[in-house]
Amino acid sequence: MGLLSRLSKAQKQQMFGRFVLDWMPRLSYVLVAVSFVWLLALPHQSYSKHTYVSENALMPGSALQDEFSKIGLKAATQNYTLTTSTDSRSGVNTYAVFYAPRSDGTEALVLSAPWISRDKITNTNAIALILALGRVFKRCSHFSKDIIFVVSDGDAEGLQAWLKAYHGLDQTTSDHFEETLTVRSGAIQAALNLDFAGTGDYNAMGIFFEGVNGQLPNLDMINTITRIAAGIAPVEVTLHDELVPYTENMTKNYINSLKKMLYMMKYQAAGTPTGNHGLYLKYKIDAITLYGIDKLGWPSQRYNLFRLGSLIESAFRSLNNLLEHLHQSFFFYLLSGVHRYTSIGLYMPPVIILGVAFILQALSLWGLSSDLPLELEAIASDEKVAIALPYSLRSRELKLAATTLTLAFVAGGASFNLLTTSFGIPGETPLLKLMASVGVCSMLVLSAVSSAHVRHRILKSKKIKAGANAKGTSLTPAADWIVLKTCVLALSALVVTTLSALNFSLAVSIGLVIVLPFMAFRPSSYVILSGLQAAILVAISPPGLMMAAASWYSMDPAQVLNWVLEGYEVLGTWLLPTICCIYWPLNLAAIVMVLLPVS
Amino acid sequence: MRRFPDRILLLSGALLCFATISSPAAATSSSQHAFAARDTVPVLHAPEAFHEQLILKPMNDGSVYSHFQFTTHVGTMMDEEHFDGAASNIFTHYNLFPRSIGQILHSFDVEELHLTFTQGRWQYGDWGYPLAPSVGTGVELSAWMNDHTYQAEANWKGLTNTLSGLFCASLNFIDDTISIEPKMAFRHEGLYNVHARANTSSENAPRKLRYGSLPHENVCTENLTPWIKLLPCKNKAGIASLLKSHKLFDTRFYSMAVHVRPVCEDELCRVKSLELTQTISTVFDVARQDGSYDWSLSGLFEREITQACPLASTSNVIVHLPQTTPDSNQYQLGPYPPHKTYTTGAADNAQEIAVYDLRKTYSNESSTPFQLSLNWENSRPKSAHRYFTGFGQERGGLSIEVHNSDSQDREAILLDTLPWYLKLYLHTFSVEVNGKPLANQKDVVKKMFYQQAVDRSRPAVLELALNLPANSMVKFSISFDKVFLKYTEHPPDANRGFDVGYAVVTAPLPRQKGQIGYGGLDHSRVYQGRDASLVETRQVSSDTIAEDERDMIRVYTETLLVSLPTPDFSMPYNVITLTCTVIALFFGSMFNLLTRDFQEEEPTTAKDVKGKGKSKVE
Repeated sequence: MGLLSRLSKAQKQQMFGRFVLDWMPRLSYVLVAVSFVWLLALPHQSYSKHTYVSENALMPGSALQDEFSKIGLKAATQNYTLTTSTDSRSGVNTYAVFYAPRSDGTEALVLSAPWISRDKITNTNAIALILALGRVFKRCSHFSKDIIFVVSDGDAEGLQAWLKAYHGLDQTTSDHFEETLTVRSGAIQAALNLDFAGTGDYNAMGIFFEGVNGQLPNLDMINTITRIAAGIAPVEVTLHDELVPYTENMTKNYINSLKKMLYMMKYQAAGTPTGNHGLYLKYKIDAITLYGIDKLGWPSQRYNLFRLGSLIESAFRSLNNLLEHLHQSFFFYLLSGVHRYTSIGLYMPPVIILGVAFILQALSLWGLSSDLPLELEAIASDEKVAIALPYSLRSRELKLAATTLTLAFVAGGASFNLLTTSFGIPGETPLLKLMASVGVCSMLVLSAVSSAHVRHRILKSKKIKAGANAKGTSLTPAADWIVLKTCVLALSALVVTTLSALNFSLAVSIGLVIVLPFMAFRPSSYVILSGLQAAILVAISPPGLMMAAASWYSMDPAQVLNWVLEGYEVLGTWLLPTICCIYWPLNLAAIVMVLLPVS
Repeated sequence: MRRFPDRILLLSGALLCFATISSPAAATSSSQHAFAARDTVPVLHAPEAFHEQLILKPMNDGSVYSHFQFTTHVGTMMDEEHFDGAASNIFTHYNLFPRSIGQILHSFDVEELHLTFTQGRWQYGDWGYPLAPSVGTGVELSAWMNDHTYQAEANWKGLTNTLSGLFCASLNFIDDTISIEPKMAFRHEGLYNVHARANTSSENAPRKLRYGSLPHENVCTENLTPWIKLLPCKNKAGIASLLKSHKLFDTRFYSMAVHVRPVCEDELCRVKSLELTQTISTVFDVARQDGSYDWSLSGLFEREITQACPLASTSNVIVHLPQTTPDSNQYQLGPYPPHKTYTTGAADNAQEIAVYDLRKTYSNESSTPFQLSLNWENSRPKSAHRYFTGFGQERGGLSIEVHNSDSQDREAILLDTLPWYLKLYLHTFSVEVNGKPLANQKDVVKKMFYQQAVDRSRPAVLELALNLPANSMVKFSISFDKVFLKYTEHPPDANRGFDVGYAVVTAPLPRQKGQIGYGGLDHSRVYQGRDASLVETRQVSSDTIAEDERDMIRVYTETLLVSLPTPDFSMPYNVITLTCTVIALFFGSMFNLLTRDFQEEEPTTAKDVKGKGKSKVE
């Protein structure tokens, strides 16, 4: 009888196991749905909190080198050259330092402007404002931090060269040259970057804050500007360059918030800074870009340089009051408007739930590949009671999965190297290199799939032979696709959750794109279905996404590729390495998976 | 201690009253009587004198440099037998010399004391070398102490704490962890060694140098007020009446100092005295408000000098006249001509100075206040000079650049003190000359003294004797590791970072013929013109000045801010709650598992109801 009770216990356990195995895949889909809904709920008013200034010390209460020299500032220029795999850029940065009276010069603030605005025209107003503020600051006796004025050349590489030299990382190599700075100050605590193109007035002011690889400045930086713009110098402030009309309508409000948040997540995921402020963040300097929006017919009051000047002066006074580096407020947040933020505690769960969905799916597949449900009839054919064995008799062959994944990562790494290396062959373009990479990758898929099919046939024939000799004693190993899918899903969970801590938006975008295809797709006995699945996976592969982006922004695919390459080579963004070395291998493995033999 | 302290106190009080209405000479003679009355020490001569002067110097960039200097001499004029330096019995009586300083010197056996409070950076590039010897940002304190009773350590501690109280500054933070004993820099500035008697060599004299600095000490009025109190006339009369804190602390640079050192009064050093020099150096940005480079005394200080300090033996205002082209007088100095003008230095370094003797004109209160102004007729001439500069910076490690713009090699001493939480790697020490790494460091670094830091007890000291090549930029770099501090060791403003003090480059600059030197305390004697002709004698004797006469100048680098790994100080709360939860969880289940007894239970059947193996769960 003891045996009986044990059996019943085992039965219960098995029932639970069956339940788990049956429900886990469904549960994972439920989790995906929860995660989607949660993500969509983030922009909603009730999920975001009203921003508040956290740092108490900050309360807002209150031939260029010659021009700088004339004001009485220490001015100098810096030459730089940067050679990438596609071109070579050089330029001259001009900078000046206002030595705060009676200060020890250990701390500094930066006011910078690029020569060329976002709008690709001369940043006239911003540079005029810098000179004017230089004159104003020179008269002030109350500054405790030095103020550095920088007018940077080029796109972003100018300021990057300046920052490198300022932090003593200047070097003279074949592809880098940054002149050593002759005028210096202390540790930079915060920076404002100005982008006010043209010479006219503006309707509103946009705040750009996303940095390289989705780094964000302390939220107090944004809070300070919005507080000042609400009081001392009334200016309409918005996030980025999109103006949203005020509305009482709940749904419209939600849609606007969603739009803003998606905008932010787009910039963050791309990892390319939305302005020169993004470069400061690498050096732990909190910085934002202020951008002048001139939109015809917009109802808000127009403002000119005078009001802007008082706004920036107030901002500098506030920053000057800082006793410490900004650290009180959030470093991880999502903004759905200048006044509303969602903190990390609220936005992280959906990504983690997404990761859990991947893991549950992987676990259930791993369970499936054991002999518990599949071999049930074989063992239990004689008796009524099924016995759950604590181990699996059926072998899980990792050979194919391991080789496919390894080769996929090798192919990903190879295409990354291919794209970033200049071979000196005449007529080589990034697009050609990408095509070569695609060729390498498709070769991998082809060889993996064909060899798997061949192997499957061989094993099948072997089994038939073996089956003739001894029936039923050896169990067929789990299907290759199950093992490979398990690995792909587990890796996806790892990637999405790890990346979410580094660059939330990138993690969310990757997670959203891959979650359904990776979870739902499996080889089908219908070739057409398998082919369709493979086609969808190809569509979400890096080249496919590149084409999609190109058609969405109506650009040339080569431009998209150049933009990604430039981000990596000039600014050191992670987008290209992440896509090539992590995303693409997973995608390749998934393509191989759907084309594998069914059982 | 004192035999008749009460009587002497009374006496000195009376004397002070007397002194204010009589001439200083009379006061001096009276104090002689006081000494003579005690009759315990054979007094040879006890001169006591107070000198005040203000030096105004327009700078290259249009700023105006004002240097107040108040010197009090007290005779230590006993014969060699009885003299025991600062501990001498002269401190039983105070006349012009401030009692608070005297008592400090006496109780802590201090022979030489240099205390400087500085707010701001001296811009060597624009302003040249300062007249004040020390311009390092923050507070700098160094003292030579008598160590014959081996109590220098305790005395240093007492000294810092007492001065902290006296000057309302955080000097007590100069503790063992930041005090050092330089081996080459910061030598004696006294003109003789008080212990160098005929039979003992100065080398064996038990003296100890202690040096410490606080780079992030803010200097403000609460430090100025006690400083003013040390003056015989306070700021009631004389040059010190210009000291208005609102204006002094609205400048680009502010530095105030107290220096005490023994000096000789004659060539052979038979007559000796103790000299207390109090200085205030400020740099006014005159063009800040309206862009005009004109200035006047009342404009700069918003106060006026109505009379010279009656206790002062000399009371001079000295103006360094701007260098202009001879054909046109581009500025107007009023009143002009002053009482005397002199030209110091030769050739390119010629400097014309104007001396106004306040005692001659403004000895009584009836006269109109002393006015002084300098107005430019056209635009201010621009001149450029290059100076010997150095600046420090953090570059993943530390590097110090020293520029020698002179056309010949220069000797110099570099002293750098680094707090213990920066772990220096001496093997990473490298020298670059004009951007090229130097293979043989001995070409530049003649001698090196390195003191390893000890955690939480002493800083690292790097002292180098250098030979700087002509027209060169020498860069020293060394790497360090940042230490994880205990969370209680962080200051309240932990996210600001840690201030690392300046490095000091001490270099002897040859004094040009007849030129008034820079920086050192010695040159102040030249200015003082105690017999009103010292400037002249310097001028006259310019031919006889030895070639090797030098001024030691000290160049201070900028201070640094190093950010160490900083914990999130709101984290302890989170950690505590999390830890408690985890402990509760683990403790609960552990306790449960350990105390509960598990036994196998035979399945009970209908026959076996009484069952032997009943489960016993405790």
